[in-house]
Amino acid sequence: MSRKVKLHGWIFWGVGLMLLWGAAVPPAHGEMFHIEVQVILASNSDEGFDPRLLALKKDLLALNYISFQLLGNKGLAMERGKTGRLEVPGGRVMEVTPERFEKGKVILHVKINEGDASLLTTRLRIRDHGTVMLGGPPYRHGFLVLAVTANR
Amino acid sequence: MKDKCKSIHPILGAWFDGELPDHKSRRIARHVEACPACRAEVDRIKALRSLLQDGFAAAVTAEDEALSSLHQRIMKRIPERETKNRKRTGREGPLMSFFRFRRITLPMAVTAMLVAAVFFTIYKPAPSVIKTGSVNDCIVDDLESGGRTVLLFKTHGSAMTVIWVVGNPDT
Ligand SMILES: [Zn+2]
Repeated sequence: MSRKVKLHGWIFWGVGLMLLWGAAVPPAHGEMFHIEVQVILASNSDEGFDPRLLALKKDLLALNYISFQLLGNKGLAMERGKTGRLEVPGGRVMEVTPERFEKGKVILHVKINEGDASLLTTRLRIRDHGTVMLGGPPYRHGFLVLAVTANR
Repeated sequence: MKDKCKSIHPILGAWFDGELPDHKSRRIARHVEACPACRAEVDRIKALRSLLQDGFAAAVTAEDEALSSLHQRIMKRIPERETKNRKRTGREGPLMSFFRFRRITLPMAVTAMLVAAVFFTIYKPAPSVIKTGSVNDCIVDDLESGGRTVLLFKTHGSAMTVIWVVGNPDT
């Protein structure tokens, strides 16, 4: 009987610890993230401002270019920890990995490669539904801007 | 003592315990039968072995009794202890308080350690490069651009973070 009592004690504590662990550590799988990447060409040509980019107008104009054209738009639905790949004009590849969600922010690992060379590797904490702009790679008569919006 | 006895005495114990190969064992048996000195030594070994065995058995019995009486005492105290616990009154003996200590405090210590481990796994102060405090609030944890110049700023519009890679690695 004393053994039974002791065993019950351990089962109680074991289950308690498992519940505690489950509450403290968010599930590693099944958590979905939505990442939207808009590929924009910023230049000083006479093409004007692409109306599809109106939501970003104020921020794009802050970059001191005259013309902004949306070259492509891609939405990625990704499980936490999974890496999404996106072809970027000029033989570049962008890899995005939502690492986790923490304190209202999506923690995103972003890597942009140009051929074999790494152009940029960064880890960002973006507020849910927030946007960050990655720019600079030359393309045609201007420069590429990647507007990355993340939400969980 | 004969030379033969001198050589046999050191291995008589092993012979008595049956640890010697057959041919050697038979040879010693023949000698012991014929030699009073060696027979006396074998008797001494026999007495010693039986003494040790008895002693061990006695020790085991004593230990068994001690354990079973301890067990009985614990068994007897458990219902008492639990009744007392339910009433939240009464005083527990030092033995039971030791067992309660082990049953509750050890798992609690393990729990505390795990909570601490989980906390320190999750909690990592972030090295902020830029913090805007807007809808586009963004913290750049780390940045690597292969030696290229990088401009990091926020726009006037909605305080959007911009990471702008400038030129080639050599420029
Ligand atoms: Zn002899």
